[in-house]
Amino acid sequence: MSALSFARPEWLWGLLLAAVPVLIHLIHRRRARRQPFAALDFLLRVQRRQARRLLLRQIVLLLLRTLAVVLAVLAAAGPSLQPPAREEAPGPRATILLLDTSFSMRYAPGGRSLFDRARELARREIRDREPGECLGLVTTGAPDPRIWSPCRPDGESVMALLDRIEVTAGGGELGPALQEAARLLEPAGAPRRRIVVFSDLAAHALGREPVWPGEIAPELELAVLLPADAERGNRAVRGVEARPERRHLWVNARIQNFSRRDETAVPVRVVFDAEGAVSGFADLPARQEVAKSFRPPRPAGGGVGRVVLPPDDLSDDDQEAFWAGEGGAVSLLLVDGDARPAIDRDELYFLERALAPDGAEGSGIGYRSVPPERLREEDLAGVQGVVLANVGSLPPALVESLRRFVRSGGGLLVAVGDQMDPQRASQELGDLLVRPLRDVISLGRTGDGPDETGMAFAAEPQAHPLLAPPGSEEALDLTRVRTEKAMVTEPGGGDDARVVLHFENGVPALLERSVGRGRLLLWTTSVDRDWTRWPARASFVPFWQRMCFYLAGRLGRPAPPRIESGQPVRLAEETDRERLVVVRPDGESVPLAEGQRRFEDTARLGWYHVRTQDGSAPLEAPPGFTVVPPPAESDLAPIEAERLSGWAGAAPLRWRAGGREGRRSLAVACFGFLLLILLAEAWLIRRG
Amino acid sequence: MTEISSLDPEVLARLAGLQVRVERVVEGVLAGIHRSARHGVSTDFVDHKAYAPGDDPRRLDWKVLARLDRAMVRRFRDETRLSALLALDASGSMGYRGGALAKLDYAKILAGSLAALLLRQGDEVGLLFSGESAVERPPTGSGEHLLELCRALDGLTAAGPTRLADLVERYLSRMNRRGVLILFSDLFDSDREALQSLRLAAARGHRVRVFLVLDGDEIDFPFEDPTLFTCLEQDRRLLTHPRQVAAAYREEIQAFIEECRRTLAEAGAWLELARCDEPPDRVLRRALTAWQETAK
Repeated sequence: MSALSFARPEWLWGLLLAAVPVLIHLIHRRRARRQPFAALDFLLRVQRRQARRLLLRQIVLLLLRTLAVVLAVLAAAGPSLQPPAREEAPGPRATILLLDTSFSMRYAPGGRSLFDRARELARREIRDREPGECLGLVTTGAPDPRIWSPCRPDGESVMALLDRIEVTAGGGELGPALQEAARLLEPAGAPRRRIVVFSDLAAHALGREPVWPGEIAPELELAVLLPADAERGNRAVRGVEARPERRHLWVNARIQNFSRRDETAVPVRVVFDAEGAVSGFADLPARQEVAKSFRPPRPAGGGVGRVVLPPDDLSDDDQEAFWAGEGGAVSLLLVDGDARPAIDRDELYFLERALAPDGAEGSGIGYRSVPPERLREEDLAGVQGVVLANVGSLPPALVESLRRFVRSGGGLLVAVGDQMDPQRASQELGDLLVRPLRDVISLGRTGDGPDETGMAFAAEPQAHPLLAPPGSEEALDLTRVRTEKAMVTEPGGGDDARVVLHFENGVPALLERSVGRGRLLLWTTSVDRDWTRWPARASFVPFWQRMCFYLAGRLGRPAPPRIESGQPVRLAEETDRERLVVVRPDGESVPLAEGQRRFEDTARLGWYHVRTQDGSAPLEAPPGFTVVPPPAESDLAPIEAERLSGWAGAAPLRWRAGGREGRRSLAVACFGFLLLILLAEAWLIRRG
Repeated sequence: MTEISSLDPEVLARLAGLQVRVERVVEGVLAGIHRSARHGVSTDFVDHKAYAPGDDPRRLDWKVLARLDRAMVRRFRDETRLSALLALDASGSMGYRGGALAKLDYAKILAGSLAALLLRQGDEVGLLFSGESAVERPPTGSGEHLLELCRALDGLTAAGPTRLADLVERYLSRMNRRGVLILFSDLFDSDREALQSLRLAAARGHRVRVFLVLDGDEIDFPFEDPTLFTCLEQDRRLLTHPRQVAAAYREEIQAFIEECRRTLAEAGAWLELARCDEPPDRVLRRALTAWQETAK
């Protein structure tokens, strides 16, 4: 037989209010006004004639009012019909409490999280245990469930353990946890075995089907925390891609609306920890993902930025951190191999003006220029890149210093010119050249006009950070740049040598190769107007600014890792010797052992800074990484009851009080009857 | 906006002394009604009227017939003095006061005013009370009699059961010749003998005029909240919700009024409903006009 139960049984005390209509009736009788009346005989005649009808009406009214109060109280108490319970075998009972601690249990409609509700129901379950009942405690976890307590007749210790459990930011599947709980029930040997599951029963929470040990599957009692038809709306940032451009950042956020309703004009903000913010609006169709792009100015301090949505009932997935780049200006050392008294004939005249037209603050590039004969090893300290512009010769000691500089992460660009002898330079610089130089060639005339002297770069730019894709805001038109002379290279230079840009005839214009942690670049023509007309063109400035960022390692670095909570992160190769410190989102610093590059404590959501022990940015590791909840956890759509039954296999399912699903709510029926009763009462009163 | 007349019951209730109230009412009545001659068998010739079948042939004016060849009947001022006895029901139920005046107070004003009007035209007026006040004033026509009547009316209080049959019997025993019985009562007679007695008096040739004095509450029944109604004459009570019985009660009281009117009309008597919230001069004017109509 179906059992009636209530979600808020404490409200049933309100049934005492059923006496109120009777009391009001009696009080009215006692407080009736005395009225002398001469025509009492007529009244008595009327009363006698209508006595039965009036009495009946009075009784019906009283009953209706009492029933109205009872129905209102019952409806407020959340009545529901529990399907008939199956026959239980006699004997002691063993119970495993299984709590879902996955990220989606942070969902807090009405300000109270599902996990808190689950814990409260679990406490009630412990309090209401049968004498001698054996209790165990298991939580979901990724990748494995956690056993907090095996099955034992000690409710108090389980209660204490329950208070220590916290909801995680990671995933967790019910299947393995159920299997583990069933395994714990086996030694108990109790004739009645059950697992009480406290979960949001979101579709993603099930995981693989449990395999029940033993012959008889335990009974599953599901304390569902939200009605199946409840709106489980949620928005989430599903990923952020950030790419530094010359003066801006390109930030692309993927945002998903998991609810069943479209949302329009949702404010989306990009904020930076250092300073600055931009905002926009996004329309989010129901259960769809959209991309929203921003192009905020690069924050001067660099650091961490966040894409932030307005908080909803699951607020922890409403923002995601990303790396906005290093702060401060890029520092370069320019070696002028062809210094001239006439300033506009100087080798670096155009390059210097291109790198910092507004000073270092404007472009983010700072540089110092020295002639080769005054170059010292100390000059390499504190710079991220060196440009050898038309430098004919360098002492071997300096070449060795430059080699060390590159291997430790610096960038070296060799730009050729008429001061360089190809063979001698190849001999002196050796592996600092991406490829050995062979000869100077003329690229000839292609037309009669002044702009048609020389050869253009190839029309199809390579996929390289230096060369933004066509159509993008940063794309440069290099097809009209004319170059008259270039230095061809010998084949070779290692398999990792890469041609970034070449002329129309196929002669490489820009080559690169990685050495150690640094990179080498070879520019096969001049950086002044001796061999090329490019300095006179507008595209010269952005290209060479971008070149400097690339040289300094600010462009083209892989994006910092994006890790799901609970998953380990590999920061770099184990061969590196730099000692690292990871600063968690809660501010706690976790030093890693020398050579340790694997970090596992990723339980917290947010940005994890990675620093060297002395506080500087690591050369061999990303500046940090972001930890996000598992993507599936943001989708709160509930599992269908039919699918759940099939998934549970042989285990009989039963819905627990406190849950709503599987039960037939009577609240609506109560309100319906209440409305009918009120209408009937009004009709009776109007009828008189 | 409702205009309040100087003869509204609220205004009259503020006037001290029955005589003052009576004078006001009489002034009001006289201001609104013209003196009209009563035509009877006195020697004072008034005028002629054309002869109609049923007219007494003895009253034919032969001289006119001879001279003008038209049959005309002579009409004379009635030389018979009217002997009227004003009977007031002073039972407990007449003490009900819903508005400014109790029913008995209202009846007193009506009776006093009518007495004054009758005395002014030379009729004889007496008083007869029911209830515990057994005061009687035989009909006389002297001018000073009004003062005495007012004094007697003033001292009347409502108490005891309704015994209208006794009242009519006393009237019949005192009036040897045919007279006028003018009754002021709510006719709340539980045994319904009052109407039978009045029919009897009418059958004996007396003119019977009844003022059915009822309070507005008794007709409209404006009560709403649960009320314990108590009887004014006996120890009876009824707790009821007025809203539930109001409609049926109103039907009941209207049926009662109609029954009284019909029963008395069948006996040749006449009934005028006097609501205590209506100016008494209006009631009296209506009554006098009706009497004149019936006298023609």
